[in-house]
Parts: sequence; structure tokens; C-alpha cells
Amino acid sequence: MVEPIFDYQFRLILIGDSTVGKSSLLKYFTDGKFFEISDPTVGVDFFARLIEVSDGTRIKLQLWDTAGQERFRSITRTYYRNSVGALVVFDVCNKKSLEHVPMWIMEAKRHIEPHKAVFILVGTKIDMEDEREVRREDAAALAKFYNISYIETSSMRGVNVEEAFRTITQEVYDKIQSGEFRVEEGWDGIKTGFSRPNHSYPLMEAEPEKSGFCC
Amino acid sequence: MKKPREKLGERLGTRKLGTKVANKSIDGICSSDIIKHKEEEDRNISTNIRGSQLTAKTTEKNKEKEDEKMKKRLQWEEQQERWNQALNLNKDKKEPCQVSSGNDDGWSAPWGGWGGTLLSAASTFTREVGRGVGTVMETVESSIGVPSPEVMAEEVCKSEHQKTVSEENTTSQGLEEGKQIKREKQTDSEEGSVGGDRPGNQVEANYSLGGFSLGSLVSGVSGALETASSKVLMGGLDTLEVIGRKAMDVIQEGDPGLHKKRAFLSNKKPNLTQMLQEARQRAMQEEKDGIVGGGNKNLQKPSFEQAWEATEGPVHLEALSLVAKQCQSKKTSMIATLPHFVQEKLLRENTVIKTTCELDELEQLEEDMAEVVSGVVAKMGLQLHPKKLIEAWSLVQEKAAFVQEVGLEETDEAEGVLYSALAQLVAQLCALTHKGGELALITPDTDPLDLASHFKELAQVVSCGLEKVADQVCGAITSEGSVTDSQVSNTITNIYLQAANGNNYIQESLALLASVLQYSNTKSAASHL
Repeated sequence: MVEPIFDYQFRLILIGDSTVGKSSLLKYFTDGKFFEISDPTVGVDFFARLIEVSDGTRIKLQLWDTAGQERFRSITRTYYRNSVGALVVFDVCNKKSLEHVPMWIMEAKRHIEPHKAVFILVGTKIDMEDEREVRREDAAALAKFYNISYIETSSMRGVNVEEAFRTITQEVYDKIQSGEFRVEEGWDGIKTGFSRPNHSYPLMEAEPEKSGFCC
Repeated sequence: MKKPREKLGERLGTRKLGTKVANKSIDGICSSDIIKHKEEEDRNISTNIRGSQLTAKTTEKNKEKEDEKMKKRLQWEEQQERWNQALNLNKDKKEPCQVSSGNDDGWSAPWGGWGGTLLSAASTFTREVGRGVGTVMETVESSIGVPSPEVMAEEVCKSEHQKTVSEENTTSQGLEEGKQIKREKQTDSEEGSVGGDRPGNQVEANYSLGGFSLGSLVSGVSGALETASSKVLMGGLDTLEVIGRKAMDVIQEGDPGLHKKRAFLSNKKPNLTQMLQEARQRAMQEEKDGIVGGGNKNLQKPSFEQAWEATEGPVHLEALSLVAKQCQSKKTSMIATLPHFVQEKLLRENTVIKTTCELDELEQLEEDMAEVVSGVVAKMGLQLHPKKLIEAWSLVQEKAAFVQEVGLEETDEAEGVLYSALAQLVAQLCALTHKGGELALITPDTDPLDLASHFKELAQVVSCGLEKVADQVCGAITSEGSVTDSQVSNTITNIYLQAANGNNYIQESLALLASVLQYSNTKSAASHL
């Protein structure tokens, strides 16, 4: 019942070609389970999980799982803006999906502007070693080109899933610590958390405006 | 929070300053003027008001002069006479000496009366008067254009002296002639009926004459103006000075209102911001304590809002609002490019969409909700899966049954469970609406008007579901306890209220969907051109 305590809320978005396994990655991260059959995402789905960064600060991740299908592209673009981080997901068994990564990064950057976001390149399905089309070095080289982290995962076996989210969360948090990112009015990428959403003092939220008017 | 205090302080400051200025000018003019008047001839305006000492002087001097002279020279006295008549203080007109001495009583009484009234009047009023006089002084002085009130008064007094001398000459000549006396007497008797016109003219003429004869800086008109205004001011200022000083004393001695104001301005009471901050800190502290101590159940009554925040409903509404916002702007720019007849048609249709997406009065939910939902969603022709919504509804029914069993015991916990389930139901409807909106945008050959009515039906069903559950639970609680019991009625009211909160979100999602469907409609109209 009680909303877990968190210090910050980060909004992260998952982008990448359809069927690369974005939803499976998220489902494993939030439920710890892998589902063999998964319907294609319609528009966007939402997930949430609490995670602790290295200094023990509790971060609530609000995860936006976008549809990879081309037909939803115009709609999913709408959702980019309020994200502080983007996981660019590709399928190591699908070379085309890696080739589209620059397009995804470019599009995300364009729509997140004027804000900045942390990107991370995530390769999926490494359990299907036989069907692998993308060499680790190639993906790592691409990530290096963009100066972002690269991580290979398997949602089926639960390899590195946690690690992928932890890495991007830590990077966002570090940028907050260094002052590069901060909480901004009218931008939902980063929000400060309260110990709980408090509704017993509804005036509290109206406080800044109130003090402005009474002067 | 500092600003208003500063402003008030400033206001008080200016007000005090105003009073000072007023006092200064009063001193400046009055003292010099009055001294001159003491030395010079009589000016009954001041003497009458000033008190017995000066009046005695005036009376003495008056006795030395003839009645006719008096009246010609001192129009003011005549006016007093008329005022005395009005005040029912009739004296013999043919004994002006007595009149003048009688005037003292007559004048002091009303002035005293006024003074008393004014003193007892609000302190602010007095201050305002003080400030007003200050302004009058400044205005008069500047409009006349004299170097200083002292110099001005000197000149006026001199001119008066000259005039008096000349008049004495004329009148002494006139005394020799009986006609002259007659005329004077006529004037005397007429004055009651003639009114202020004639004396006014005389004064003006006399003073302008004095001004010319002096050859001073003052023109005839400005001289007259100065005299007229000084007449008013001389009379008023002395009294006002006294009133003002007295009033300030009274204010300073003990105005309870002022004390209150001071106390308010230099308040040590907590302000709203502080109170809110404290409340927030307290709440956070309590929450921490509650968590550490294993949870304090009585800390906060469960609410729909709280349960709603825990669902994914808010995010779906947010995402839908993002889409709706974009659709709104796209629609506007697209309509502008279309021919006029299409615009008119779109305006009509989009209005229909908007009105369709408004919840009606609640009806009773008769059919099985799962069936209705499945049927409606199938009719939409979109890739929507109502499974989660139907599951949420069965969860609601399950929890409602649980709450009915639990009854009045542990109501807080039962209510929490119920609201959580209801919030889930509403959240699932919002999710469905959100996805429906997205699909409507990308699915060709959908009819936005049809979709609007389908989604409305869906929302209506869920809304009725909320109502029905609230009815069920409240019915069970009522049958258990008496309705008159305040706890029972409070609980029931709260449950209905919380369930109604769910309707707000349903309505919001529908309104957002309307924007999306309007754009979808516009887009298809444009593509069919």
C-alpha cells in the first residue's frame, strides 16, 4: 500500500527496433521473470522499480517501454522529451537492429533537446549464441563512438539485466552530483521524491504560488 | 512575506511625514500671520476663533469706530451675523459691538462642538485632514506664486492697513451727508436678503485695489484668491492644528487599534509558509517513524488518491495528455489549410466528438460488466485487449465482498483495500483509453465519431461500476450499524466521495481522448479531399 520511499525519480525510456526484446528486458527487471510469448507493445507501456545507487540513495525508475513498430513512431516520439536516460536496445542476433542504433540515438537526442539525457547501448538475446550476428567488438566500437556504455544481456537467463539499469541509473545520478543534471520545473526527467506522495496537506504543493500572491 | 510589512511601514511613514509637513506649514503661516494681525487691525476670522484675549482687543477697537464703517470694512462680520441668525443666536443688528462679542460665544460653541466631534472621530480621519491641509497649503502657495507665506501675509496686512485708512476718509466724508448714512442703513437692512453676492464683490474690489496701490508682485486676481483662501485657511488651520495635535496625543497615548496594528506588523506569529513547512516536516518525520516502527495504521486515512498514485493510471493519463497536446496543435494547423466548407463540417463533427466524450448522469449497471466491456471493445475494431480491465473489475468485486464481510471493524484497512482495487480499475480504463487513442491515430479507416461513443460507453460502464460498488459496501455498512451513528455516516460519505474521485480521472481521460479523436477526424477529412 505505502509507496516506497525514494529520493529521486528518473524517467528512462527504452527505444530500439521492434522484437529486439525491450519489453522482455523490462519485465525481467521488474518482475524477475521471462515470458516466452510477448505481444507487441501498443504505444507505450510503463514499469517502475526502486533501485539504490552506490551511496545508498534510493532512486525510483519510471520506465517507458515504447513500441518499436514503425507505425507507432510518430506517437512514441512524443514521449521522448521528459526522459533523463535512454536505453538503446538492439538484438545481437539481428544485425539490422544494430545498424538502426544511430538513427534511434539521433532521433532521441533531437526530441529530448534542449534537455540532455544519458544513453546506454544494450545488446539482447546473448543466450542465443548460435544465431549471433553482431560481434561484441563491433557493438562496443559503436558505443565508444558515441561515448556511451555498452552492455550485453539475456532476459531469458537474467544475465546483466540488473547491471544494465544500474549502470545508466548510476551515470544519471553522477551527473546530478556533478551538477550537470538538475531537477527542472516543467521537465519530468528527474523529480525529487518525497517519503511518500502526501495528500494530507494539499496546501503544501500550492505553497510557492501562494507566497507569491500574498506579497 | 517582508514586502507587505515594508509597504505598510512606508505608508505609515508617509502619513507621519504628511502630518509633520502639515503642522509645519500651519506654524509657518499662522504664527506670522496672527502676530501681524495682532499688531495690525482686526481680522475677525482669526480673532473670533482665537479666543477671548484677541476678541477683547477687537471689541475695544470696534467700539472706537462707527457701525457703518465696521460693516463696510468687515464683510466677514456680516457673514457671521447671518450665520448667527441661522444658529438662532439672534442679536440686535443695530448693536454690532455686542454682536461681535456675542459672536465669540456663538463661534466658540460650534467650534468646540466640532472639535469634540473631530477629536472623538477616528484617528485616521484626523491624519487624513492633516495631510489634506498640507496639500491645500502647498497648492495655494504654489498657485499664488509667492515667495513665502510670511512675506505674503505682510503685504496683505499692509494693503489692508492702507485700505482701512482710505476707507476711513471716504466714510468720514460720507458721514457729513445724510444720504450716505441712509444708503448705509439700507445696505444694512438689505444684507439679510441680498446674500453673499454683494459683500463678495466688495471684498474683491477692495483687495484688488489694495494690490494695485501697493504695486506689489501680486495681481488683483491672485490677491483676491490669496485672501479668500487665507480666510478659509486661517479659520480652519488654527483649529486643525489644535485638533491634529490633540488627536496625535490621543493616538499616541492609547489607540487600541494602533496597538493591534503594531502588534500585527511586528508580529511574531507564524505565517502560512512556516506553518506549512512545519506540517510537512512533521508529516515526513511521522512517516519515517511509522515506517521504522513497523507502520502506524492510524497515521493516515486511506484515500483513493493515495491508491491511484500507486497505480500506473497517472502515467497513462500523462502520456495521453502528451499525445493529446500534440494532436491539438496539429489539428489547428491542419484545419487552417483546409477549404472553408470542410472546416465547417469538421467543426460540427469535432463538437460532436467533444460532447460525446462527456460522462452522462450515472445509470444503474444492470448487465455483467465483463460482457459489456468485451462487446464494446470488439466493436471498436482496434487491437485492444480488455483482459486487464475485466480482471480489475473482478478484483473490485472480490474486495467489495471482503469489505462487506469485515463491516465496521477495521474499516480503515478495508477501505484501503477497496480503494486500491477501484484505483486499479480506473487505471486500467485509462490505460485502455490511452492505447485506444494511440491506435486510433495509426489505424486507418476508423470512424472517430464511432470510437468516441464506444469509449464513452466503456467509461460509463466503469463509472457505474464504481457507483455500484460504493452502493454495495455502504449498504452493508448501513445494515450493520445505525444510520444516525456519526461514524457510520462519515464512513459512508467518505466511501462515496472517494469513489467519485475515480470519476474525475475517467472524465479526464475521455476529454484527452476527444482531442486525439478530433485530430484523427481532421486528418481523415484532409486525406479524403
